[in-house]
Parts: sequence; structure tokens; C-alpha cells
Amino acid sequence: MRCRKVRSFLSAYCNDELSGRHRVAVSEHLSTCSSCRREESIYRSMVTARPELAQIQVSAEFESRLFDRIARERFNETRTKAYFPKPIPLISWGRVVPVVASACLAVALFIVTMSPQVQDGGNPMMSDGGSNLDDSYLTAQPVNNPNLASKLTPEWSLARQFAMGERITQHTNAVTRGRYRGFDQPQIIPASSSNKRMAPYDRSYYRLRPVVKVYVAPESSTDKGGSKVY
Amino acid sequence: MEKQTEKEIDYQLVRAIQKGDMVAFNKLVDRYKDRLMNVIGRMLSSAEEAEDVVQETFVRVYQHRQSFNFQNCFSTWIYTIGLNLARNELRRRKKFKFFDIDDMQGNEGDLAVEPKMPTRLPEVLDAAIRKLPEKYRTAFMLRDVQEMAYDEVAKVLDVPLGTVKSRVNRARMMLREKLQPKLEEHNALSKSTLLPVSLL
Repeated sequence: MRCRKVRSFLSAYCNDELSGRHRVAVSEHLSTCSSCRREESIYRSMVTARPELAQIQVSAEFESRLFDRIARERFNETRTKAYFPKPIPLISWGRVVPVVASACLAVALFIVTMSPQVQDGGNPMMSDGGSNLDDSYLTAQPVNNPNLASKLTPEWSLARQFAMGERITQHTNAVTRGRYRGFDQPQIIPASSSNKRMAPYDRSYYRLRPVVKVYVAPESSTDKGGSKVY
Repeated sequence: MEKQTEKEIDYQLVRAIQKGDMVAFNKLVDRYKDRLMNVIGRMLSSAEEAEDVVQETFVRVYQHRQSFNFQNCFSTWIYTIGLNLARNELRRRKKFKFFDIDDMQGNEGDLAVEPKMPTRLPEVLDAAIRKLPEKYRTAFMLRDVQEMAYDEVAKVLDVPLGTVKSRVNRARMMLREKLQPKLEEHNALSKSTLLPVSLL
């Protein structure tokens, strides 16, 4: 073993921290190398001087001052427990959580049970309970209904609707009472006729038509007789 | 075996302290006050500060006596508390440099007196230990002066075992460099005089 390596082991060798083959090798080298022996003597001096180191001790008043402090600590602990007991928390999570959970459950059950889809029967507003009525109209979407607001044209207006409705009413009264104002003989248009002449109010987007049944005695071969529907 | 006996004694005392026995606390103070003072006194420059730190260590031990879980040695626990408090004190002193007012007064006569140089090897060794860097000094004190085991020192300092061995070895090499001139001077002196001169 070379001097450089031996000197790296010397401090452990002198402090009895080296064992095995390393210790044997260092011992053999020291027996032959004087410079390494001088290094070893320095480390040995340190080991010898260590127990002679001055022991730094506490002063004579150390214990009295320490136990004064400990007595104050004990008094604080006792006073804290006696005069300042652990306060009861205003909000105890152990109590709040079950209450909130049960309240949420109750609300959920209420919503589910009061849902109209769950209730038996149809519209409760009906006098007979509506048990025999078809409720599909509630959700039915009209197809091609020209009276829907989505079908409104720019020239549509509520006043015009009222005016047209008024004319319908007047014409209906006139037809039923046999009076015409501003009209010629009533145009009896057979239902199957291809005559496209329409009454002034009868627009293509109206479904409301007065149904008038008038019996006309057959006078010509063209008349079919029977009830006529305008 | 003896170390285990000391460990068992410490455990018995701590259990008694946890139950409120102040006599046991007194015995514990007697066992550790000088050991702590020996280490912390060489970390801090002032003996009064070191004593305050040691006192604070025992107060902290009493305050947190219920938190000791008997998984490690009690000595490991108390040294950890003491060294942490000492490091805090060192950091605090670095922030605020304290000057003694007596040094500022005009005592020129005292300045002419040279400080007494250590002549004995233990005194020389003590002076050399105080000049070591803090981390090497602490490891050397715990391992070589307090004779704690390497793994215990590693737990106290909260560093790996290899780091402890490295620091202790490095501290010994630094001390050897400081002691070598003194020992060579001693050897030269002993050769030149007829009377035996001993540094010890």
C-alpha cells in the first residue's frame, strides 16, 4: 500500500475504526515508512488530547433558572386547562354534514315525487281528472300550421288578424241571417268544384272557414243538391 | 450493552416525565446538561448564550415531552433540538452584529497586552476545534468528543451516513494541519533542551 493511500486511512486507524485487511496493510506499511509514522503520531496525539479537552460546564445558577422557567410553563399549562377550556365549536362538521345531506335528500325526493311525469293521470286541472283524454296535444308539435308565430310574414299584424276575424264573423252572420252587405248573391261553391274563386277573407293560410249548410233544390242538371259546404 | 442500558434509563425517565414526575426531569437535566453545554458551548462564542440555548433546549423538551415516540434514542432527540436552537442563534447573530460597549471605550492600555497563547496540547486542540467550519466542527464534536455512533450522528444532523464520515474525516485532517506546526515545534524544543518538555 502506498503512502498516499495509507495516510487517507490513518485517522480511522488511529481511532480504531479500521478493520480487516486494511488495518493489516496499514500496520505493515507503518512498520517500514518513517514519514507515515510521523503522521500517525500527530493523529495519536489528537486522540490522546481529546479526553483532556476542557469540559464546558453550566453555571451554578443554571438549574435554578431552568426550574423557574419550568414552573412558569407548568402554571401556564394548568391555567390554560382550568380557565380556558377547549371551546365548543359553533359549527361541528360531524353534526352539520348529516343534516345537510338529509335536507338535500328530502328536497330531491320532493322534486321527484312532484314531477308530473311520475304522477298518475293527466292534467289535474280537468274537471274529470282528464283520465280519458289524450295528453299528446301537450307535447304535439303542429306540422305546417300557417298560424304559428314562426310562420309569420313581415306584413302580419295583430290588428289585421282582428279585422279579418271581424269580417269572418260578419259574413257568417250575414249568411245565416240571409243578409249581405257589399256582396252579391252568395256564391255557392260546390265542395268539389274547381272554382278557385275565394271569399275576400278566405286566404290560403286560413283554416277557419264558416261551415254553412244550405239546402238548395235542384233546378238544373248541374245542381247536385244536398248540402253544400263552403 | 452499556449504551443500551443508557438508552433504557433515558426511556424510563421520559416515561416518568410524561406522567408528571419532576424528579425524573431533574435527573434527566443532570444527565444531559454538561453534554449539551460541551457541544453548544463550542458552537457559540459566548458561554452565556450557550447556557441560554441549553436552557431553552430543556424547556422545549418539557413542553413537547408527550410527543416523544420512543422510536429513536432520547439523546438523538435532545441533541437535535439543541443543535437547531444553536444554529438559529448563529443565524440571528449573523444578521445583527453585537458589539460590546467595553470594547469601544478607550482602554488602550489593555490592547497592548497580547492574548495568552495556548501552550498545552488540549488547549491548542480546543482552539483549533473552535476555528473549524461549523458543519465539520459539529460532526467532530458529536463523533469524537461525545463518542456518539455514526448512525446516531447522522440522525441528529439529518444527513446521510457517508456524509457524516466524510465530515469527520475532513475535520480530523484540518485539525492535523493546525496541530502539526505545534507538534514539530515541541519536538524541536525537546531535542534542544535537556529537560523533558511535554505538551500534555
